[in-house]
Amino acid sequence: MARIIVVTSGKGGVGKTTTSAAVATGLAMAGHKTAVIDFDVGLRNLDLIMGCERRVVYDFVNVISGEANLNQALIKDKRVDNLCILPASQTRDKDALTQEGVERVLEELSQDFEYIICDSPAGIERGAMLAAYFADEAIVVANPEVSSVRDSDRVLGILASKTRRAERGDEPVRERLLLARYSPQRVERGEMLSVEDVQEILAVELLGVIPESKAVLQASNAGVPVIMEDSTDAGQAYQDAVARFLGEERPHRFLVEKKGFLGRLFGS
Amino acid sequence: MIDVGELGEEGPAVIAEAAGFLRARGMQIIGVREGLETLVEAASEAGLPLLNVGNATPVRRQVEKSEEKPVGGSLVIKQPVRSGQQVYARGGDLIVLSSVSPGAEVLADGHVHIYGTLRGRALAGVRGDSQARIFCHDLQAELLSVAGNYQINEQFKNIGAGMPVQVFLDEDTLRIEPL
Ligand SMILES: Nc1ncnc2c1ncn2[C@@H]1O[C@H](COP(=O)(O)OP(=O)(O)OP(=O)(O)O)[C@@H](O)[C@H]1O
Ligand SMILES: [Mg+2]
Repeated sequence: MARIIVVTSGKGGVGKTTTSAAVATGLAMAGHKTAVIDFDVGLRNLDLIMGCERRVVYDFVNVISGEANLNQALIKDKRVDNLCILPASQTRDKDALTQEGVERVLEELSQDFEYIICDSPAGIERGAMLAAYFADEAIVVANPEVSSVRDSDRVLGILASKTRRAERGDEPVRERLLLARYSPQRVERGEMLSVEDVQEILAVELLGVIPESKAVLQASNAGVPVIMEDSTDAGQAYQDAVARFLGEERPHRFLVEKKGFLGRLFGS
Repeated sequence: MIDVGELGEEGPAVIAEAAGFLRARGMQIIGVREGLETLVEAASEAGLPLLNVGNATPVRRQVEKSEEKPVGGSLVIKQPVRSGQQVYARGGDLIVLSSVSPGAEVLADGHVHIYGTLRGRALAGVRGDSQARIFCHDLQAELLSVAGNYQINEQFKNIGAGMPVQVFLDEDTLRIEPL
């Protein structure tokens, strides 16, 4: 049985897709068979970030509606073994997703994969609810600002009450926070919430802090999940997060202001 | 302030519609005071808190979280109460071991105890018990109400932030005092 992990946030544009791509790639690189599904029907972009947009033939909605089978729609990643992408449809709308359809696809994927990552759309409407409904674990992505934290709080409430686990009274969805686009300088200037502030409000385990980094945009323009860019701060922060996800203990880096050029040159 | 006390048969539908209308225009609805039972019920379904409901029969409120049954008259919540969630201890006290988020609402017919930070709304004595109190370890609430007498954050602002306080009714005035 696969572990189903939803990457969700409430607020849009906080880094869910970036995180889904990084975590899925990281888990696959660690040797776990992983599938990542784009639930953002109508606005697909996971395939862009994963660099496989030219290889999309069938999508998630085609599989749900029976126009294609799963093997036809799954795209095998070219760089990393053990990794497959199930892209969203660009042309259909969110109503094309049904709970039964999603359940069927997840069940079928569960036979072959260890981890299934669900990249949720923003908001708390149908698409987001379906992405979260079957989850065993959640990675809640937030940016260090009040509105994003508020939305994450709302989403945590939904995970605790509107998921299959909650409805069945099973063990609750395991919730972890990923704080993305963190800028220590801006925290210092009081323009952003600090990690401590956010943790105080959300009271949830911290999976990682991803620094605000140019490397993210560069990587996504190149169609390479940023976790594969070993030399970048964001790449390393995602590597730490995946290691923690798999149970390793690692200290949080990137919480204090970046070192100058010399500092970086001489490492540490 | 909109008086719904005079609304008759069509009241429930009107309330639901009015609530949607006001919210869509970004207005904050504090709650409903007075009214026939059907109105109160409609208000509750529209997600409006009840203030000063007088003799009206208590109504089931929609909670976004299934809760255990109150034990010995009180309901114990071990998890944080998150934005968008509402917890109501009907017929007793409410004890929240963690924090109450902004945008969350906790209500009790009796007292409300919060062992974390109160950042959302807390309403004690929602069926009119003026002896009911609110206790919390850190007061940063959006709204406080005892037996329908409420204050919004603007009115009490920084009083009680960062220290344990209690909120109670003195005559008709809401008082906030350190514990
Ligand atoms: N750590 C980061 N540093 C800098 N930019 C980032 C970081 N994380 C994400 N971004 C940028 O933020 C934007 C949104 O990222 P992404 O698409 O991953 O968010 P999302 O939550 O999936 O958005 P949506 O809600 O639209 O699905 C992108 O332009 C991305 O490059
Ligand atoms: Mg996205």
